[in-house]
Amino acid sequence: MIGRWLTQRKLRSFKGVSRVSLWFEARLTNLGRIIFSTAFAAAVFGIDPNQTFALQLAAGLFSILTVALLLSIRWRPNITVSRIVPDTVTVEHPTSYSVSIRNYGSKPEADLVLADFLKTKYPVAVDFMRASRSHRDRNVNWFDRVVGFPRWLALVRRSRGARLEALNLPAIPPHTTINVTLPLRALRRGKLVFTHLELRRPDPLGIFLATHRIACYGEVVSLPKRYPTPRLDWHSHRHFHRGGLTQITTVGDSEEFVGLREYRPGDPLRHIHWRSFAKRGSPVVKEHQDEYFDRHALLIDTFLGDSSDTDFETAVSIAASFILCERPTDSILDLVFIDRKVWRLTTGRGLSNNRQVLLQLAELNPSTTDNFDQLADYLRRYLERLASVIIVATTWDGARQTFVNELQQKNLRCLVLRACEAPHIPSDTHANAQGGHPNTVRPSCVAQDIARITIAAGRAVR
Amino acid sequence: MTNVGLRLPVLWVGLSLASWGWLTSNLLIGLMLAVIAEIGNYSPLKWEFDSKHFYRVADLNSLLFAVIAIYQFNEHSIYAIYEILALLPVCIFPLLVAERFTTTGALPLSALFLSLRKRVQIDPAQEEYVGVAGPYVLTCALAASTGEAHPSLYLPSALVLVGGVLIGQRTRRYKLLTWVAAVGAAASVALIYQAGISFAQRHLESSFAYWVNQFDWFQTDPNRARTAIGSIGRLKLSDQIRVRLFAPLSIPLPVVMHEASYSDFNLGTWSVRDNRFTVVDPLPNGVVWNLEPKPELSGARRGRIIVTHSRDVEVTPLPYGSQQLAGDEVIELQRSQYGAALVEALPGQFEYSVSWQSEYRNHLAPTPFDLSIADNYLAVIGKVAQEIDLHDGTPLEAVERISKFFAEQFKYSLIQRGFYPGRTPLSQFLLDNRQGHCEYFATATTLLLRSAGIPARYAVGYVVDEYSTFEGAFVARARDAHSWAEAYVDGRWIVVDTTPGEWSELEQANASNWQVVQDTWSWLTNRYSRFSRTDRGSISDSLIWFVPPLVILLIWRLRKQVRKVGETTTLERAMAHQGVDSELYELTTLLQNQGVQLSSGDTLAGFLECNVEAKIGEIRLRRIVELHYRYRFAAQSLSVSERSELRDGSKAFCAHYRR
Repeated sequence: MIGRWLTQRKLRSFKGVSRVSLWFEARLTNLGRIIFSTAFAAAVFGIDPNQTFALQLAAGLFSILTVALLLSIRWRPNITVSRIVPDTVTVEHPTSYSVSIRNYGSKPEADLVLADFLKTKYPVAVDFMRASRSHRDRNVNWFDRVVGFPRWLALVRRSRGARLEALNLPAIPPHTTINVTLPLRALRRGKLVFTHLELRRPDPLGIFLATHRIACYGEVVSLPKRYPTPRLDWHSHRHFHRGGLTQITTVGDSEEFVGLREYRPGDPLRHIHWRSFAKRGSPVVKEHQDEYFDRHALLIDTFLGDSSDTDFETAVSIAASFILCERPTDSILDLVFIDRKVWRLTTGRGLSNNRQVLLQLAELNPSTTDNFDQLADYLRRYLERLASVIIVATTWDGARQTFVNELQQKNLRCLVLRACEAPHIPSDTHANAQGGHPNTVRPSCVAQDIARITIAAGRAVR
Repeated sequence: MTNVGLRLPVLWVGLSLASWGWLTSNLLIGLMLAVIAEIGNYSPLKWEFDSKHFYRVADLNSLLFAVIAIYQFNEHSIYAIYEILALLPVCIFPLLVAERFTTTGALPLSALFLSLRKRVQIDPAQEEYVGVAGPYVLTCALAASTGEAHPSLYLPSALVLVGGVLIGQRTRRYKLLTWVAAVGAAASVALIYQAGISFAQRHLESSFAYWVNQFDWFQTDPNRARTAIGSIGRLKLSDQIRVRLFAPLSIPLPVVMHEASYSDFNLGTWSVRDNRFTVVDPLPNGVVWNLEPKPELSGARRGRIIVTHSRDVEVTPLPYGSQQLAGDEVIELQRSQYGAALVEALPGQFEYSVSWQSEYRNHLAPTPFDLSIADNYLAVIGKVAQEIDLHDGTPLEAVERISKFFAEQFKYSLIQRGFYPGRTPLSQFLLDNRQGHCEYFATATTLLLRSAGIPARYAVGYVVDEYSTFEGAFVARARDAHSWAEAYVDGRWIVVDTTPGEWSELEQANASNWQVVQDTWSWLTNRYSRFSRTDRGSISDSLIWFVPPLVILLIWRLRKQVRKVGETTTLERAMAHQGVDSELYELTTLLQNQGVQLSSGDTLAGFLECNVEAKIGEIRLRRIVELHYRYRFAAQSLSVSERSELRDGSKAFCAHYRR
């Protein structure tokens, strides 16, 4: 209780420090920061006027700062700004968006700075304490780990979703529009919300920046980061299943003609073969080849347990990578997860495109309650239709292992991937793939681990 | 890569260094540094540094700074801060050299902050570069503030330097006149600030002096001693070691060390009227002072004392009955008629030797003030004096009665819970609760002695009765500070300490759990201080001799990195020229001559695929382009036959398009 109270006080002070720091960053130029630092140092060293004349320098520099501040208080430019952002971006994938600025004034506008802002939610104590389990936090020095300011900054950056740098604009002649490109690199998945833009201009001394805020809303969905996955041998299983798709027009049947047979009540009229009907005098219907395909399930266990957010993000990235991985066109992949209720999203064979599934994954949240049983029960209902199951989790326990053993007893291929920053034992990957034990994917080297595991899985099923 | 360097007028760094040198009487050094800095700026020869080189320079700079700081603290104690400030342009000069003499022209930020180095190693894209020339100019202006050579010219020269920095960053958005007007406004505000600062300083100094006087228990004031009489709550003093006495273990304990005596008491404060200090002349050897007109050295106890001075001149504790003081760190010794010894020495720890007799003999006679009792206390003192019948008998009998009175009826306590209104704390101590700390006992005893017609004074100092095996010395801590009464009986001053004997144990019981840590730190600082006092000259001088070989070594290590500005490295040259003789370029030149232009952003392969047929006979364009790229960027992988294939294929395409 006391720890939480102290953390809350600490977070409040971090917020204060951050706001002051942001103010200095937004309102002072490089020159301004240097002048301010020197003035502060001069004031400290000048505290004893019998020792130095630094107080005179401090007075001079503070007067410059005062005048510059007064000259930057009010600024109302005749400028409009609009932003054009893409619909989606991918985490850590550099992209850009454009901003157009129009000067309606009669004078050119030079030396302007453009800054864009994303909605920021400051972390609460629970998030802050949970983030201390992140492997990144374990890598910082003890002081930063104990105080936690870098961790807090990382959480704020993460909440913001991307780091946006202020851009120095070229001179804008009167009644002219210019377009500039701003770089964008998402730091997390989910929705990035642009709140407003800010134009800044320096004062005549070049120390303070006057600001003009322009409300300009925008949204971008940041998709999970994906990693290259080697092709899995999806067809290697002998157990094929009859389809039962209900969401497509050619329900149950393909266009492949098999033969003719007598009409049975319930057959659709459009399948009647009229020529044979005329010859025989009794209705004859065309029979088509039943549609067969292999179906796979990709389970995301959203229970966080003692794992960190980084582990969960890795798990989502792994799932996203498998959704996009190369697979036969007649296979179907069900993405199954719990987000308040059990969801099953099906991709493949034109049912739904990968982009829609990725959008769902972009919004997926971790769960603090363990509801794996619910997920397992749901999967048990249509196990006989599945060829293989891929389970992505952050925590692993006996219940999960029992479920995997149950799948293997039913001759289902099963690949288990666990995202956690644990020591990796490469020699185990092959055995893990065969035995249904979780294969560790470390958040610090996802690409290497995922490549190794999937290749091993591919070998295991041959 | 981000560069946040400031633009500066020509020769501005040199000018700032020269100005610093001139104002701080280091003109020669300033000019030398200025010349080096400007040579670096205009020299065509530059070092080619990577991050590791910059890290080394920054580390060297930190080391230089640390050495200068240690040296200065060694020499000037706390005032070294100003000496270091004065030498700041020298301390950070390696950083300026690293900026001006390298091809980068700026410093990686990670060189200045260790925490960034690890981050940059993981992701080099996070590296930022900063220019140090602008901050360096302002540092010179700040450092010059310590100079006393031309005080009236400091402000103009500093403002000129700052003005240069400002004009370098002047934005074209505004007219020059606007800029001048803004600077003029700033100058006007500066005048107002100057006046305001002078006014505030005068008032602050007086307030600050008053505030400091509230906490004068550390530095004993020979004119005034504010007691804690009347304070409510627990009296707590620290475990800090204040006095170290190196003496044989056989000396009788406790050793009472006297600091000052006072004659007038009122409202919780003892003071001295007409306190005159007279300079005591040393003996001809210059390091020994007689503390009594005729010192009795036969059979005297001797000891070495180490105390800490925070100011040049301070009251120094001396054992009762001190006869002679010796010490080469003592600059001057003054004594008051009340026995306080005022010693002038360099601030910090200093050491002296003392010879003392067991009894206190002060050659100075009592004054009429030693019998006065303030009106506030006449009634209560009279009442108590009557109670213990002080007016009959000899002075020695009176002393005994007072001692007996306090011993039998009073308790020692560090806690005061409250006072009754309308009654002085002293009267409550004497009449009601009859418990208190040493200041109560000493004050009451002094006033009772005076009531009995015996000249008496209130004395403060330390009682030394703890031997520290860690220090190898007897020590007195802050909590061992004590007060007692002095009575003039039979022509000499004697100590009348009526504080119950258990006070020392009680104080010790209040010792902090951190005392061991505190003692260790105290011992370390003491050892360092003694070391620096005794050996600083030789060490400081010998350090200088390390500088030239180190500079030569540095230049030797850096010689390989020198190259001309704009010159490319061997690898860059090899990369630039490798494969430029590829015959495929003839094809592109031919196409461009025929009017097909290579647009910006177009790759060679893309350009050819768009404008050249994919196949001529058996020769495929894609194969030729692939061979070209391999020849250009991985020449070792190209065999002789493949080189011929590239040559022949390119020529075939050229021949086709020439036709």
